[in-house]
Amino acid sequence: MSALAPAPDWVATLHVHGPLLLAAARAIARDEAEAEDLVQTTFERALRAAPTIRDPRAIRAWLLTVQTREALRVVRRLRRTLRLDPEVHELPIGGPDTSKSIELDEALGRLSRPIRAAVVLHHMVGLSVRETADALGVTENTAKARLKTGLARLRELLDED
Amino acid sequence: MKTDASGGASAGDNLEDRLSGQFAAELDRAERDYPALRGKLVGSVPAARARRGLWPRIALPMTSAAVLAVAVLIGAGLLSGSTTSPGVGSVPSLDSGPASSRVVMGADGMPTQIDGQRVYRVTDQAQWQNLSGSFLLAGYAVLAPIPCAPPSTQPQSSPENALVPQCGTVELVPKAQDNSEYFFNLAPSGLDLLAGWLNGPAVVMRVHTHDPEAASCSADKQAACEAAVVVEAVVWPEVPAQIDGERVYRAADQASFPTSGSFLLGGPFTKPQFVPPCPMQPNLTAAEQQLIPYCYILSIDGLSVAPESNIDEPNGEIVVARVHIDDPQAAQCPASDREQCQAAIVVEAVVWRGETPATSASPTPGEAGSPNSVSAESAGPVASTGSGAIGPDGVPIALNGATVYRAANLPSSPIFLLGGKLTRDASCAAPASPLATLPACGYWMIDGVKVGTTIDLPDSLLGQPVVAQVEAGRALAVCLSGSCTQSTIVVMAIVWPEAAVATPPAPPSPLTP
Repeated sequence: MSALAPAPDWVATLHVHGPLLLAAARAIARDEAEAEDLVQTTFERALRAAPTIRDPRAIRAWLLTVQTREALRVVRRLRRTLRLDPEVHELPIGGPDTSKSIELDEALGRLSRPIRAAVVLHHMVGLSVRETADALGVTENTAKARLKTGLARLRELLDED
Repeated sequence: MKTDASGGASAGDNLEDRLSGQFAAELDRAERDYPALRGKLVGSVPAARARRGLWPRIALPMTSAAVLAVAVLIGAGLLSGSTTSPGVGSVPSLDSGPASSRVVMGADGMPTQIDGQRVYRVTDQAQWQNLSGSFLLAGYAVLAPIPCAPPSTQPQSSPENALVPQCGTVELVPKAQDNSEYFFNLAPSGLDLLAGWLNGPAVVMRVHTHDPEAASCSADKQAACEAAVVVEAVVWPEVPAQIDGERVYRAADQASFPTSGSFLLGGPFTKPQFVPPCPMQPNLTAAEQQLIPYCYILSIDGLSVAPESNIDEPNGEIVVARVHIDDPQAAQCPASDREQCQAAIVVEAVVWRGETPATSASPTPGEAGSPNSVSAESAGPVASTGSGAIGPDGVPIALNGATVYRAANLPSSPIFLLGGKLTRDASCAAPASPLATLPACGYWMIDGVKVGTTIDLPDSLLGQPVVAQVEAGRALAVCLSGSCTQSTIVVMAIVWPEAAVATPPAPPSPLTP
């Protein structure tokens, strides 16, 4: 019952989800170092929680939940302690339409983190509304409201440009 | 991509498709980058050392709920291990094995001698690395969550596996704050003995190098196997070996736990350092819910205890509990889980409770009769309520039984009380607003420790002795080369002098589902 050594297959499972976690962390945090830290923190928690995870089908959503809540927690603390400088974005290179990609990325960057997290998890990662709400720690109605607000704001920002 | 939830989403535009496409490109980039990232996590000590800058492993501050919980505990005077539990009323006779040992404490809060035998430090490696036979080694055992290499690349059962860390190993570091440059991995063999001490207080272990199994290692691993530090036992803090003549089992004895009747289990009593989101687990029987540890798992000596256990909230103290396995309810568990139900450790009562080991004991050079006597609380009289004895720096040594730490003995726990004179760091310009303090600039200092703050500290406190409730953790900072993270200590409240500063209400916890 000691939780010292996670099973190798559990670690392998985590690695399977590693790229998805990294991509989602980048999209939400918009900071490379913080994104990598988020993935690390998620891994750390997952390794320790390995004995408690009983439904392997739920791992993907669970990992995203851990990571998203950590992302929201970090920014909540930062807001209280630090004044952050403007962000520097890293973008996927060589997409089919780079200018549009940059435009959309900038618009995403102007959303508040909780709303961006909702948009990323639902419209980009593909979580259901229920899963998105769970990940954000809010009710489904609140998640829907954030998604609605997020899309509306994105349209507004893209129209402005 | 999704249209079922967004309410106002217009089906007429392609924004959702663009978002989906954007993420597909982001995922492609992550797929390309991830192997390099993964590579940083796997490998040898040098690789792990290099990882430290990127993966600082100081525990992130606990949730605000935990802050509140700590505040409540402090208020209730419970943090000093003053709680009692069933069975504690009588004083049992103890045989703690080395209880009669003479422990000589060092200035770093760890023993320098036990029973006349030298206790080496991690940093003394040049002196102990080539010792023959067992010796004593002190430090802080820290779980290193290094993901494993693919199982297919690892030998499945070999001396290398027992001696050379592969993944998910434990590091021994010399200081409580996990920012030391000096550390090494312990051999996987024997790590179970440390299960209850991970990320906790300092420990003294009996260890050896040059394990006999090293001779069986392959040639390319020979040196690593010879150098591997193998844990034989944790000898300090002490755990009673017997109570009233009855054996106290330890986690390492799990294979020989009595399967009928009850027995005594001893070791550090711990709770999770974080509480992950806990998805609902439908379709569990009542017996499973009572017996199978889930989510908020309490442990004795690193062994999880069943949810139905009769035990109070732990605080890292050493306990001896009367427990049993093979609970009658296990028969009601489904066949698939029955074995796990039968193995569940059910606590009937705590029969002995020690003091909370200090995560970084205050310096108390000299001799001490027992490990508990060298906890931070022993630095001076401890008040049961209100402010206790005042130290030479004009700051209480303890408040409501909780240790007030100083710069010289910062603990490893993420939330603690920090006392000392409140000053400003004059080495850099003051920020525009105290609330915008970048901790690296060290606008505020307590006992010389640079701190950030979540509250507005009035100038009237400048130069005054204060006690602050602080959180140790990590904050983002904007570095010259881009964003980076750094360790920091953040003031959450001034708790002494009383009513010096109003504390803002804690935000809701994002970790609580």
